[in-house]
Amino acid sequence: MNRLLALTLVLCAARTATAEPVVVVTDPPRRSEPTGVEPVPLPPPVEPAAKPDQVSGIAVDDEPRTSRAAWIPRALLFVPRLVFWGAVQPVRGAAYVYEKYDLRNRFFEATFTDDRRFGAYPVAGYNSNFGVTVGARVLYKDIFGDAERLELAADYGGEFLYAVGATLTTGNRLGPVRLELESSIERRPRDHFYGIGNGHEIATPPERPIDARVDDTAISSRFRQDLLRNVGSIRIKLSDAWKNRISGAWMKRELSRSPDTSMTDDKNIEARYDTSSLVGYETGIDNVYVENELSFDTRRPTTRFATQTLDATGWLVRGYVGMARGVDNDPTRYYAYGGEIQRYFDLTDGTQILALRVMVDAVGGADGRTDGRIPFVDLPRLGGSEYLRGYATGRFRDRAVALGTAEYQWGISNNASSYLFYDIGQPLASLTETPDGPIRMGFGVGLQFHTKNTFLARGQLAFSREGDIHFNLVFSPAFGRRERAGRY
Amino acid sequence: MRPVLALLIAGVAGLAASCGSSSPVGSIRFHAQAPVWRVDDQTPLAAPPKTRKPLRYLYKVDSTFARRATRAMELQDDVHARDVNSLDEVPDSTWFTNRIGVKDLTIEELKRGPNVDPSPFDHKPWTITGSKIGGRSLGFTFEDSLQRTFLLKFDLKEVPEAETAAHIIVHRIVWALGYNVPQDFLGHIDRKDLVIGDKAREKGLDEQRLDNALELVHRRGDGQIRAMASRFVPGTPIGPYAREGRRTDDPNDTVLHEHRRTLRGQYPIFAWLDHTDLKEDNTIDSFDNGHVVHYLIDFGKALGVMAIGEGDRMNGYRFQYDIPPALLDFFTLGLRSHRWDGKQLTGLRGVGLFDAEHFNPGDWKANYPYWPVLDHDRFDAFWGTKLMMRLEPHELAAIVEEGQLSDPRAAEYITKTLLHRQRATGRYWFDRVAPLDAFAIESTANEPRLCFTDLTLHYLLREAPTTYAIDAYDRRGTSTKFAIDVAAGPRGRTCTAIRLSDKDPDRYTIVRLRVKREGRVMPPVVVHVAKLRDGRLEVVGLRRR
Repeated sequence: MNRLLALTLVLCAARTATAEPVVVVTDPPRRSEPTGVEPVPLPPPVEPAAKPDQVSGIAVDDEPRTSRAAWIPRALLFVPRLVFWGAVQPVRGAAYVYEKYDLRNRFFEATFTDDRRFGAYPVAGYNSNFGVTVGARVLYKDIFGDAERLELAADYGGEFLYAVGATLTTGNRLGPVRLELESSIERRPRDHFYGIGNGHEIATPPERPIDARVDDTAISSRFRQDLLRNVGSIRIKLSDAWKNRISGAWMKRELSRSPDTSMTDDKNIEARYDTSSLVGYETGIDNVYVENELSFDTRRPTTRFATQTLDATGWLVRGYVGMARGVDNDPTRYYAYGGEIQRYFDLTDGTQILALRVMVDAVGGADGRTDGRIPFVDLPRLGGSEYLRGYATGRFRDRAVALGTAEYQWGISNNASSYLFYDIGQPLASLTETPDGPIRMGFGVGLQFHTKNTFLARGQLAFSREGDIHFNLVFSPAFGRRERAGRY
Repeated sequence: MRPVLALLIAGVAGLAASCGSSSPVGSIRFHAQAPVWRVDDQTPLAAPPKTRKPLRYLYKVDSTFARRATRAMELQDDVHARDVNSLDEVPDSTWFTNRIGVKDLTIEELKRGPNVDPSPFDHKPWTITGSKIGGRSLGFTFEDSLQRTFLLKFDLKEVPEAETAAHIIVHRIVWALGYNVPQDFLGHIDRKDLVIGDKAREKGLDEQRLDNALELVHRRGDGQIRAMASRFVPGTPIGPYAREGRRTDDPNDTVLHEHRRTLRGQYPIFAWLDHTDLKEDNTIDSFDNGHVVHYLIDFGKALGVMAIGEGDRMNGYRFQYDIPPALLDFFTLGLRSHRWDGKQLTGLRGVGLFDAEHFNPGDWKANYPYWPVLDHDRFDAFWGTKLMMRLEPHELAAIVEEGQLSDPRAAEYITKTLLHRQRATGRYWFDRVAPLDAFAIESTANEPRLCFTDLTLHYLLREAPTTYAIDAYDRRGTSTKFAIDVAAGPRGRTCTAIRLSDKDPDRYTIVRLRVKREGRVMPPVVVHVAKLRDGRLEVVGLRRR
């Protein structure tokens, strides 16, 4: 036994025994500068050349570097691989067809003139609150060579039964002044209504319809709104940061129960609310709204190495005043005012950003409930994918709303960034009165996708303090501008 | 006691087996013949191979997730490069020609690169035959007054000089290292030098559109337009070569492309040059003289230019859609640090987002996954690094001059950055493979000597005392009992006497060399020596482990 061990050790030791080193230093190599010395040149090519399969000069090959046992995980992954490969074929096929048949160019050739200034094309959109919308656009760009633009639009589905409209903008034709005219007809069959005020939401329909004038109990309901909208605006660029915008809208609206047959009947506004108490519901609304907004906007990206569609620093301060009057016998009579401050902080090279926002919208001049002067659809609102996230669209409406937002954004790739947000807000009977009810809180996380110059979409998961969960897929950034004239 | 005794016997037997049965020099053996330095892959074809039309969107889909995922699930074999000779070097072929280090390249040759024909800038006017206007790219095809066809490219206004300079610099380097590239020229033209040809007019190009397009490009103070003209490669273009597989209709294309060291070994080279626009589209095959020749084209996004053009600071660090690190950033709220943090532009005209401080030679990524480069192993990277290290500072400076940057500080910055990145690359990859190279047998009257160069010492990448443990084996892998330790010679070149095996007539001997440096023993290099038919002793094979 000991002999065997000894023999083994001797055998091993013999392999590492050292002999007297023999070192011969040759002349310095040909290219002998320290940072770039060339070793001895390789031998010149030997002629004739060898066939590819004879190049290696190998007589007996080495052991494979991959374990023979690799067949086990390969076998295990075989089916998942096939399944995955099959599952991605539609995407691959779409990519193949798109390029193979040059669909982009064919699309433009089929829908636009050669100079790409005039064309008609189909569109499709998705709103997580309403579903899919399809439609068409007719576009005439750069009409007189100064970015003037005329757009005709038609939509079907989603939030619309149908909608048609036309928009004309003067582009750069008038220098710092830009005019925009818009006219549209919309049939909106499923708009939300949750009552007026800051009341708690109930799930079970009440025995009697709620009188929203005196009872702020909230319950999800829907109504139909048919509207004719005519909007005009003049935007004057006073300087790079300062802008003034005068806008006016004449709107005629007919309101009625939702015709959506897919919805349970008791979800209709008339089953849940006493619509005779909702200003404008039974008589319709025919009013004009005029507003002036002054804004100071220095928001901007801080680096060319981040998407130019998301701001990373700067301020937005804006304030507005507006007034509405009824046309003919419409009783509308109120004024509106409000403002917003946004501040962006670039925490790290434009890729980590803290955004803060406070905003107030209010209407005054009437009490909004009992005197019949403020249509309920004109009351400021909170909820949805931008203003007080975590709550349904139009969840809160009252004579005033206040909103505060803190949002932390961080880049996760060249084409995507994510954000965490915390919104607090409250509908108020008046800005001067003590707030009634709890402060509403929403929070959540989102992912937004963009290219260098185009915002593509954002998906966000928003939670409310009360436990609501909303997923929104939106095709515009958060912190956009809130349009009031003709939009509320 | 019996079980214990049996266990002891088994243990000792196992120990003995571990020392004797599995040879430390592996099982590979080479023919006793001189290494092959040229591949005959020019057998005339009966018909040209089919033209491959690249499909960019499908390429991106496959790169981003489809093929990338299935490739990962295939658990492919770890394959040693297939297009190497017995010395683990790449012989000349239609893919590659050994140039710098093998041949003397003068400064003039390095500056000229492959350009052997007259410059089109001396043969104006140019007749535009086609155009590509749109997006962020603008290019034309034209014929010069000698009726030669070129592709014409410019610098965009917002990044003057950068793209054309990057292209020319990298083009010259890549050629010097051995790759096939077209003849590319840099110069200035007047608007009046451009004439719209009938073909281009038929495609809708007119004077107004040309003028509008040229409004987007950089012009010198005197109104001259800086331009890069790339001559169409000789022969008939048949599309790019695939990043995976081979041309099945080309019998000369016998090695899977992802197994080619020529391509896998590009990793350290393109990391060094930050050539992130690495994709099939930037390669071209040409059917010339009855066979296919393989080219690399379009280097204008290298040297950090793509990062500026795309507004992407992560360029070179992440793929365009790199889901795993994006998820990691998502879940860590972007709070973890990144290698590109703090990377800034120099403000020098013509310089991209390119530095040495934020460069890690092992972490570099192209804009989209490019399989051959992703499949590189330590040995491929060693080969590529060895090539790029051959360019000396004054040679790099001369090549950078060819970029014709108007600000001398920009040329100096690029040269210095290239040098720093070159040395970082050398240190990185020469630490992962025993960096011994240029093996040769010097036969004297009494005994042969084995000479080799330690590239780490040679390029002064490290200065630690170094010794080499050398031992020898016969063809069967049995120790010849020759074992010595040798101290490194000056400048990394060392020669030492070796004792050859006399068990075979050709004295086939396998010499194992292990580098001992900074308390570490590196994986060995195994050198096979044998007597050729003409009686000369020669290194007939080599593998690094």
